[in-house]
Amino acid sequence: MNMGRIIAFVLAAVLCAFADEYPKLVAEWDFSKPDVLTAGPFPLKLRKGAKVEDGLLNSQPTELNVPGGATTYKIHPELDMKGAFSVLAEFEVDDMKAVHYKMLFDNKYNYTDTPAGGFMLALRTLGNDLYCPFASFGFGANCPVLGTTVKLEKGKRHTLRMLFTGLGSVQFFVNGQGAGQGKVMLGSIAKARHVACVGDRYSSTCCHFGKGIAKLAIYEERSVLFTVYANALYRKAFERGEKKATLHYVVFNNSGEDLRNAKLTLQNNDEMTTVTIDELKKGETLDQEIPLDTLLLPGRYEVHGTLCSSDGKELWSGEMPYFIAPKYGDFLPVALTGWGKPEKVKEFGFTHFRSTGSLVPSRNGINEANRIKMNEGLDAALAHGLYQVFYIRPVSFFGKSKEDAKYLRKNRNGELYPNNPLDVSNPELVREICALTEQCAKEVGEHPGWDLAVINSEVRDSMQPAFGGVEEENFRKYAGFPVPREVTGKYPESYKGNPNFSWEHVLPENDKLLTYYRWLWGNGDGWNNVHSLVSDIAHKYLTHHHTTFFEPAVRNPPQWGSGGRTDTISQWTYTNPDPIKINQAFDELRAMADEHEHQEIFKETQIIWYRNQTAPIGEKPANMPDWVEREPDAKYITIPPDCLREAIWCDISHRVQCLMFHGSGCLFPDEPTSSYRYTNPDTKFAFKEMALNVLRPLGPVIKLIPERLPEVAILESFTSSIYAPEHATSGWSKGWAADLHLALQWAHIQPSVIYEEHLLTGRKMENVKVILLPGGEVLGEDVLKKLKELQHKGVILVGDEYTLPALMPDVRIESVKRLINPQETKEKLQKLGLEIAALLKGHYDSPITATDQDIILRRRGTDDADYLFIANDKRVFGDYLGPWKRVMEKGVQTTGTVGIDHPVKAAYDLVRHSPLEFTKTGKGISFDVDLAPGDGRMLLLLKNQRIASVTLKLAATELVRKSTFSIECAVLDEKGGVIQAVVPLEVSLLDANGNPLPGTGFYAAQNGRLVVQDVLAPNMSLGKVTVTVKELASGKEAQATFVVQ
Amino acid sequence: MGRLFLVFCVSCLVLSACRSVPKDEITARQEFRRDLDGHPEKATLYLASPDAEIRRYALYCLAKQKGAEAKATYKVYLKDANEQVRLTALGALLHFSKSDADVQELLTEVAAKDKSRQVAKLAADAAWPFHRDVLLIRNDPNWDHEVVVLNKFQIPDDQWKFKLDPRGIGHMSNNKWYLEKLNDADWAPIKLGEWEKQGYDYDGLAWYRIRFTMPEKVDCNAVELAFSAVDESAWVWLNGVYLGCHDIGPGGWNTPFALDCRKEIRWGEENIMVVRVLDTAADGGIFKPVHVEILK
Repeated sequence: MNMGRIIAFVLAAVLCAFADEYPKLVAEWDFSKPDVLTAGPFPLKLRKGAKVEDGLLNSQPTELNVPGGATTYKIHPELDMKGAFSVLAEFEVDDMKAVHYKMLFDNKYNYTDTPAGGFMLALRTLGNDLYCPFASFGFGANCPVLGTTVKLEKGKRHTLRMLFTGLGSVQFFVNGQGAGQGKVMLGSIAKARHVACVGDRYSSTCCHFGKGIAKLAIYEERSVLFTVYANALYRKAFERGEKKATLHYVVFNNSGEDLRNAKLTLQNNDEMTTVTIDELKKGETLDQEIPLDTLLLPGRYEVHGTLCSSDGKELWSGEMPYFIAPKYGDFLPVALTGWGKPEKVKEFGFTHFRSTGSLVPSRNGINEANRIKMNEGLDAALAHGLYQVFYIRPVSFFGKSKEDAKYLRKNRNGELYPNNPLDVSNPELVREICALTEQCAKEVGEHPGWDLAVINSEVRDSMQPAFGGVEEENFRKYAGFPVPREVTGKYPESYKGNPNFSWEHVLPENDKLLTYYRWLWGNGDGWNNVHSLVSDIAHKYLTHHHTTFFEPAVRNPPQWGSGGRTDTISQWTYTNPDPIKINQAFDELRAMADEHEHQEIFKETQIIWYRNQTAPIGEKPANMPDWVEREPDAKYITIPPDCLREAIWCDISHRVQCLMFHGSGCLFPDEPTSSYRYTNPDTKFAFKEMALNVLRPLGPVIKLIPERLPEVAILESFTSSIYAPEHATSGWSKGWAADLHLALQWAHIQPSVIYEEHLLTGRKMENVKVILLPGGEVLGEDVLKKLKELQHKGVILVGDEYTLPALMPDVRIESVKRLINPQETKEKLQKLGLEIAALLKGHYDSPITATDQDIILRRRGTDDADYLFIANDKRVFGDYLGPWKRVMEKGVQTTGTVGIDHPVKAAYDLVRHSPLEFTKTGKGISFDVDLAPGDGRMLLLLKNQRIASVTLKLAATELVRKSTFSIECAVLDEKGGVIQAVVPLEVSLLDANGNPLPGTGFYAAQNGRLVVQDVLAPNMSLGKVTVTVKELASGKEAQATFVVQ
Repeated sequence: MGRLFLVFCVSCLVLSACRSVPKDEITARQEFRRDLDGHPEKATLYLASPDAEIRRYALYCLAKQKGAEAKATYKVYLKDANEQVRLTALGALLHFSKSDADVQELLTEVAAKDKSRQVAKLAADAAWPFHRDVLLIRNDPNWDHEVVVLNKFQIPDDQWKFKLDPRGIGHMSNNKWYLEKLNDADWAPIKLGEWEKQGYDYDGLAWYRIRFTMPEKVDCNAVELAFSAVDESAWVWLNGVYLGCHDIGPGGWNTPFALDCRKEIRWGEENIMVVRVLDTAADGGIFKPVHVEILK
């Protein structure tokens, strides 16, 4: 060891200490010095493969899975940092891949286990030269902090400084610039239990830094003696108008002496509050709260505070920020089910996103670090006027450990199934799931940021019948006989290999297998009950408004019940190769929701597309686009812009309460993601255009327009789908049953989907004139009887070559086999659609027509008010995915004439806010359309009325701050009657300076009427307020003013 | 009487080819069903209908009433011009009279000669004792994840053993050529490639057997035997267990297919794969590589 250097280091440290100057150097490893490993008080030993070269520590140059870097020889208590400290690292980054973190320093080791001590500092690798500073601290519990994304050029020297204040905050600086900050627990970190490691993790999963670290130094920083700060365990963002809002804050005495008779003065806007602190012992904290006025205008506010000692000496002064978020009058939630920067998420037109993770973060419930993280995420969202779509998903923590083997499903031989599906028919497990959910929901409590709750997801994917437990006994009690011995899986064996199967393909109602499978997929496997219970618990303890949902709700055989009592159900859809698949998925989802009279639906569209379905890696066609070179290994790529646009036009043609989009990594270029790749920069702009121009202004109306009762229904039979699953959609909008739906759309025959339950209960069957039965190979006796009854009443049954022998279709069509080339398949399906229309002619003639099959039409509304939705499906192979010939992704402009066989007096384009010109035909009207690529229309057709004016009436013309205002709007016809339709309105309230006031936004006037009420903010400008109401059908406006005194 | 009835039926079949279907099929079919309501015995009258849908349903109603008694009628309608009528006739025959020798004979004939793939397959399946549903992880509707190939290796292309089966007896209980312990010492060696090019100028059934060794077990979600192409249909066993088939008709001669064998594969040991191949025209055989794919 170089004694001279040790002496020099100690002397320097001692001098620093005497001088009481901060920062004080505690440890330094400078790899440009030849004796770095031996000099100084903390010598290092290199681990296998690591070396010092070119002045850099190269932590592990060859093997990724072997611990690398350099460690101290022992645990040094001097490296247990008390109070504030900082770390300064100088480094270069190499192009080593396959690690998520490049570790600079670690004496903490575990990411999640407790008790934890020490700390780790790293760069999280995001690819494309993007990194996030990352640190994790052991306070007993774990406190991780992730900084903001920075770009670091390879081969250049960079610095990272991490400052731990000891007051519950951490800050990062990269190359001298702020690179994010985060909250951790208050006070010092706990002692490290491991030796220090530079350039890798202490052990386990390796996180080599690579080449390499030039210098790493640890400093002790000056600790602050007193501080007052907003308590990170509580909210700092509030929705405007919330009741009982308070800002929780903490007074911390870090001085080493007790504090007595101190005074804390707080100024919040115009209000001054003084708090006397009789005694605050050294090292202790005092929790306090101050009420907030949430009627303030939306924005960022600060509580200014000063802490003074009994003799008037100022001990601390500072600010505690809080946010008042806007409370929207009405809107259609547009959710990004992925991570994103709030400002970007907002800018592109989303109203919701994910940033907080799960309400249930672990099997152990919620700890303080979780609460801090949750509040940060929720506050950040709300502060940007955004809400969270969040997971509850308590079941994801069960079945992972050996002790949980009792909760797993077993086959008849007592063996576990692949992927270890949970046996939620086990009441003990259900109790545990509920207890964990309850514990977390209670702990989290109210926060309007929690808005859309995913109850569970994909839980039935690996489900199989459970043997040897409660489930078998439950079935015996239900059916009166044991689980049939033929049952070996979640579907019955194919009947095609069964010589004893009914030759008519009709199963009696008491068929034991059918009874079992109806039961299993109903409530038998326990999942629907668990969804219901978790949803109920969420509603009980999260007291603010929120909506629960389950998805993918139709990834199981077509039978009512999926999702249980959740508020809504949802389903995600990959729109390749035909975006109009969205309509099929919607209709299926609606059929599932029909069990409950008031269950609404959400719909999710995948922004990601499977590369192997659209541009397979192994294939090398001519004219490969540039993105392949940039992202050669991409497994999930970006949906093309025209397809996304078209999908959204299809989305809005259905009554829906939320539209979700998954895959932020494919939408935005700099989102941290491992497999979703940003391969098309135009898609995000296509989304933004649709979100801001269509979804935002028309969202309130899109949610309300009623669906028409089905006239043409595709019967998705449960029995056929379990015995002949090859024709069923299984929730993927694939297969013959789904393709038939597309064929009908291309023939302008508006299809809907019904289940066996619709037939048996008669629900929504009143107007059905045609039933199509694709792949209907097997039916139960009761369903067969119903179909025959309906045929007897004149309903036309369309069958195919698979239709069971016992049924005689009125029309038989031949199924279309999908080809790899989507153009050929589309042509075949379009031809089939026309054939069906021709076969039905005279018995069922669709009331909607278009001169081009690529013009897709869908109708909603009432007899008085028709809403006609149009989407342009004309597409060709483009230059983004076209070379692979798997999807026609490039939209093409289309013109044509659209007709509707229904009387119309006036028609309006709701996106352009203008009347639509049309020609009267026999029973209805026709009009020309000119549609841009991926474009669409949303039209309002009024049967007996014409919009003549919009009026607004103010309850008062002179008001004071904090008083309630009321605006009554009406959309009227020439005779002064209100328009009998849901009409979109834009309401704006501008203060004397032209700034928008709360109440401004988009609304739906139901039956032509709307009342907007709100409370005037206490800090709004005095003077004239101008109220403008514009109806978005014909574009008429009305204006009025009131004065705030 | 039976003979008269047959003559009547045949004349109707001839008539059906000459007469045109009524303009409005839907209305005619609705009327037919109404006529049949409460009078199923009237079904016989409609066996001569020019509308195949009506003929088919009449045949079905007849089978419901008469069962095995109407066997001769079913046999007649096995020759109907309409595929659905033939399917119903075949279904009735299989249900009521499958074990009859004449029906067994008919099955072989229909399986070989019927122009409808659906009809031929129904007949072939009825005479074939093996059945297994094939669901690959890549097609599993419950698997919304990228499937990653952990390992892929080719089964040797020059160690196959081969035997012709012109009478289609290899699978029968006294032969069971798929069994792993079968003594195949007298089987001929053959390489990957069309069998015609290796000296077998032959269309029909033939069997392949091969032994290969698996690596040590790895954590995976599926193990698949991936056939690049078999001309033209193939039925596959592994270690004596039937895995499934690739049987989509002559059009399948150059279509890749795979079969899952996660449960049957023996890790770190020798495995025996047996493939029964049917070639009905031109070249035949396993002519492109076969791989084992280990998937996660």
